[in-house]
Amino acid sequence: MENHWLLTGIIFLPLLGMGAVLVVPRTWIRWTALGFALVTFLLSLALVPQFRGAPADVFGPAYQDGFKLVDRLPWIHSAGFAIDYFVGVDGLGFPLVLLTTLICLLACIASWNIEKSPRGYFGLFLLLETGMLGVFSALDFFLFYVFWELTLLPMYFLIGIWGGPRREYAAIKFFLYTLLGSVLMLIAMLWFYFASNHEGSHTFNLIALSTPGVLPAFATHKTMWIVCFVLLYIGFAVKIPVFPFHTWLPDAHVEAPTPISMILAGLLLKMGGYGLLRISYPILPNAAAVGAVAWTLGILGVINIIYGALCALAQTDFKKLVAYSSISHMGFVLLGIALLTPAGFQGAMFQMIAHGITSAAMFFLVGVIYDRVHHRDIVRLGGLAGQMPVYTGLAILGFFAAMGLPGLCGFIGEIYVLLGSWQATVLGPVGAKVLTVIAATGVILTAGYILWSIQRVFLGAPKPEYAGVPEISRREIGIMVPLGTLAVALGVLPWQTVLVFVHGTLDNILRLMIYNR
Amino acid sequence: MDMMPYAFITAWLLPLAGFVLLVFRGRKIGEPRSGYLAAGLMITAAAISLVGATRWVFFGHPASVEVSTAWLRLGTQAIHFGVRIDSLTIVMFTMVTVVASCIFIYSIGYMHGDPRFPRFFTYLSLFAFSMLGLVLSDSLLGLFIFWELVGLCSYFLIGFWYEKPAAANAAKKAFIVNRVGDCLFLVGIAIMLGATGAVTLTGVFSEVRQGAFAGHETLLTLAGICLFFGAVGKSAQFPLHVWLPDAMEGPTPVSALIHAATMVAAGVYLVGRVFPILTPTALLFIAYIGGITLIGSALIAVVMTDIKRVLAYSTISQLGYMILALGVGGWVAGLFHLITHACFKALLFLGSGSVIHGCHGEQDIRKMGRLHDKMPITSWTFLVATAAIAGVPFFSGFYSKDAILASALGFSWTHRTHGLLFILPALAAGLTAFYMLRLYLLTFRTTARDEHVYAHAHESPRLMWVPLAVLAVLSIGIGWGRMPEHQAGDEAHAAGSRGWGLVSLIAEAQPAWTVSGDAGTHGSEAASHVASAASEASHAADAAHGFHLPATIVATCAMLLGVFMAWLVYKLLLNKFYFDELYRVTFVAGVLKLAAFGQWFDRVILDGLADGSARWVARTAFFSGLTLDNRGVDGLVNGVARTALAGGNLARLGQTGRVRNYLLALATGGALVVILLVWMS
Repeated sequence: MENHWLLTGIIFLPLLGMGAVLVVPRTWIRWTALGFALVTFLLSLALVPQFRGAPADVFGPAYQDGFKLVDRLPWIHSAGFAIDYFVGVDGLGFPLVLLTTLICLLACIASWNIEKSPRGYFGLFLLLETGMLGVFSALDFFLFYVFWELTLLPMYFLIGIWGGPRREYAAIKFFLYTLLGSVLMLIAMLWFYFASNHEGSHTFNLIALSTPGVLPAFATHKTMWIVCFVLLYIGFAVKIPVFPFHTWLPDAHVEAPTPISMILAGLLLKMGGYGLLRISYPILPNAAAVGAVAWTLGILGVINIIYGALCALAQTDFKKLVAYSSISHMGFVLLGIALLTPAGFQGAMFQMIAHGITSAAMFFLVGVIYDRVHHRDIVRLGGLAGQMPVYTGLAILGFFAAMGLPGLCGFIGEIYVLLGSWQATVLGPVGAKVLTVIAATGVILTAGYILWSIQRVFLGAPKPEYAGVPEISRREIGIMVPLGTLAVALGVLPWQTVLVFVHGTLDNILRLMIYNR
Repeated sequence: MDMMPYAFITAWLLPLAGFVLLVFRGRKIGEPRSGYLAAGLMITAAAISLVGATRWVFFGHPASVEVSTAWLRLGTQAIHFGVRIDSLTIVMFTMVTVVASCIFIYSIGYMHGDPRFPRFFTYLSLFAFSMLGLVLSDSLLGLFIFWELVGLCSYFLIGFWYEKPAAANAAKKAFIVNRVGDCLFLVGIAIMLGATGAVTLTGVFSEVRQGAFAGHETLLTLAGICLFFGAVGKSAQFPLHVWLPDAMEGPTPVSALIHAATMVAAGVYLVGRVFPILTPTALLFIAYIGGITLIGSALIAVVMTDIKRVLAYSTISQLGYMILALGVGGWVAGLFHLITHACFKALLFLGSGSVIHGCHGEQDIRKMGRLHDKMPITSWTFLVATAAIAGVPFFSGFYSKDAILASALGFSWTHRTHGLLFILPALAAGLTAFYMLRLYLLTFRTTARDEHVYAHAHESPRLMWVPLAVLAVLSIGIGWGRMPEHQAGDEAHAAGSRGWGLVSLIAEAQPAWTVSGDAGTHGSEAASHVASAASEASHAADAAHGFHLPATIVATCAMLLGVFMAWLVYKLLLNKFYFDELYRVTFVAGVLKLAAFGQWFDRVILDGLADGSARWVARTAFFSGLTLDNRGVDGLVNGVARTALAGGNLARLGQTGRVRNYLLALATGGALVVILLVWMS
């Protein structure tokens, strides 16, 4: 197979940027980082033409055929191991790669006023970007694991050094949680490796592992599926995060600097959902279709939706509120995936992209206020609409997009998941309907916390203590404009902007399951 | 005829263009010009739709025209975004554009001097676009999308003066109460999509007709009631009506356009649109909800003293009439009343706005009086609207209310156990005349009770009274016409006497086939006594023909009685300053007791329920968000961490650097990996 090097270039360009940031003169650091983030983004746009055309041509008849821009090099072939450098994207990875390069570019602009040792900050920032891009394009489980761990280190330092007052607690908590998840994933990975038989040898190749018959031992042992599925699930659940593994998230967000929160919510959480769709479901399709598994995942998704929204309603720290709203929104991803319907899968994938946009926007918006008034206590805020009308307009756009207002991106994900899960058959005739109705009440709670926040922050009489607060700056508007535009574009033309690129892969994954319709 | 949908689509997109322009350039365009821009676009849209409607009526037309384009695929189901035009669409579209034009022009005068003048027209334009989209939509999903958007505009406009906490609270309340209904609306759509695989109205109907719900009639009833709950929220029906009186915090033109003429009627429109799939049980449920709403809010309107709140409760009551009409099978009557009500209620609200404007913000009718001398045009137009809503013969409201009462009487006649469904609206007809005349007399006649208010009152500028005059003409004449003698779709009688006017145009769009009309023959499983009884009632429209005369007599008597009572009170009141005392000694006291009870029930029980459930949610939220999450889930985690830390402290003696911790963990992990690998291979 011919290597294209394009994807490899996209993945490692930020790493190159890190090297550059470490050596350029101090005054050039920001511009260098921005330059590399920008070029990475522009390069990633070159992926789009690869996915244009009729779905059958682009994605092929089966899940295993849908990968584009594959680069493959032997990496570690000693001591009986066969580990490849093996990357490629399909409808699952490609939108997330694009989202990553975009959000990283915007977060880089949002980092402009980082004063504390910028060299280290931007270096780690670019390293993190490489890690995430690697996760979304690795096709070798070992390589996936390496990139997965690679995101951990820079994130730990970015929170632990550039964070708020309780940054050390938050950083170590984030670190331990993810490490716990990765260890479990590691066990599953090795289990797969030694159980696999691909052309006479063991393999880490994710495409091969998802081919029926490559895991012969798994065909007969139901317990093995379930155990491996649970191990992987916990690993990914920590990242999503799923109740009850979620408590690292509010702490990490509250302490993380604004741009890091944008990346954390916009991209890092997606690694969990991506992992489920890339690894758990294609390798263990039979486990996912077991009623008890689907029930558990579906119920956890609904708990995420409702519980996250309730917790958001209770917060007085604006950033913590947004953090809990992320938990609630990621619940839709879980529910959509769990119930194994085409619409649910599409909704979950769409929700990941939409949430990447809206959560980045919301965390950025909270950061804008924090920069000006130096606190995030929602009770002390108020009346900002009079002082910052442009900011208020953009904020309301962002918040309503997150709330799922029709015409904006949040709506499509939610309605796809709800209408899809209503039709699910994996939980018997009534089960899915009950879950759907409970999840649907989440939209009331969401309206509750969003509108209440808007009221407490923006509405009411202007407060004298915020009289001199400056309006949102041009640089800040520049960050919000792409996010706002995308929120509208994805909401109005969801099919043309996202779903047309992803549905082929998602349908192929579903076809791997017993329960495909 | 092919150009027809595109003409309406153009008219629909004009306000959107206004919105986009004003969002980005609003402040540059400035105070009067942004108003003229929005109003100009709206008037153009109205002109286009009037031309279209004329063409539709006088040059022949098919039953419906549809245009759609592929929008997305939901799983394996293709979803189109489409526009469907039939006679009802034409009527609604024209009504919305005409009424909106009047209100846009009026607003230029009313909002004069407001610091956020351009913003106001930005929201109004977005609202007009969303409302017209709702009317044009050919699918449940499309209806839902625009349904939410009109709700959003309503939120922005109720909270337009967001500096006032009451306005901000009212806006939030309106949106969240509506979301309760919307949540069930969404479930209704899910049921429909799940069972029929379609979201377009025509697709759903044909699937249902072919037996998509055969053997699952209860589910169909449930689906109908779920969809209806969307209407309960938006059209402020019991028990979700609590948001509408509070919504009066918005500027008065908003109350006129959104909370009287158009948006709140969207619920009635929705019920009218999904009417064919409503089972007899669902219809009965709908009828009773309408009945409870119309009598309860009419009673409360009697004791209100804020001019806008009287009108708000009156709106709820009139919406109840429409819902009841649909519930008893009077499809044409309900939608006919929707249109006439839009004209006279918009006029009433604009009149009240003119009064408030002229009295410098005073809204308490106890402080008004004798304003007829000061603002004669407002007074005369207000009187016209009062006559229309009270049901004075030859005014538009008379015809539509009469049609509703005839349908209700027809239904009650065939189902004696449901006599209440006629008695309630008949009683409320009297109450309506009473509270409206009371409002008129207290505001414009009697004595001037507050010298200060009276002395400074003045007639509104021309920009405001011209729309009043236009709406007054409509309030009189819009109802004139005659029902065709034959049923829609009944070709055999097509040659029979042809109707004319608005009512006949609406009758053309009446669904030819309904589940309830079909229940007796088709869904035999569901043919309970209610079903078979109500199946006849769904044809109450033709049954109603025989009941027009008695209904007219009852309605007119009730109206006259109400007028007489109001006159009596007025006569006695003429020289009195306080009228509350007077109320107590007259025999009106009984009615007032009931009204007070209604108000108490509304404020204490229903609002208490709304606030109570909000408080309950908040308490749960605080429990889960603060106690459970911090002490429970996180406490568990921290407990584990503490235990681990105790162990870790032993291990890291002398070590403090966190990077080193990390490296240590990595090394340990790596070692574990190697051991595992070796062991497993």
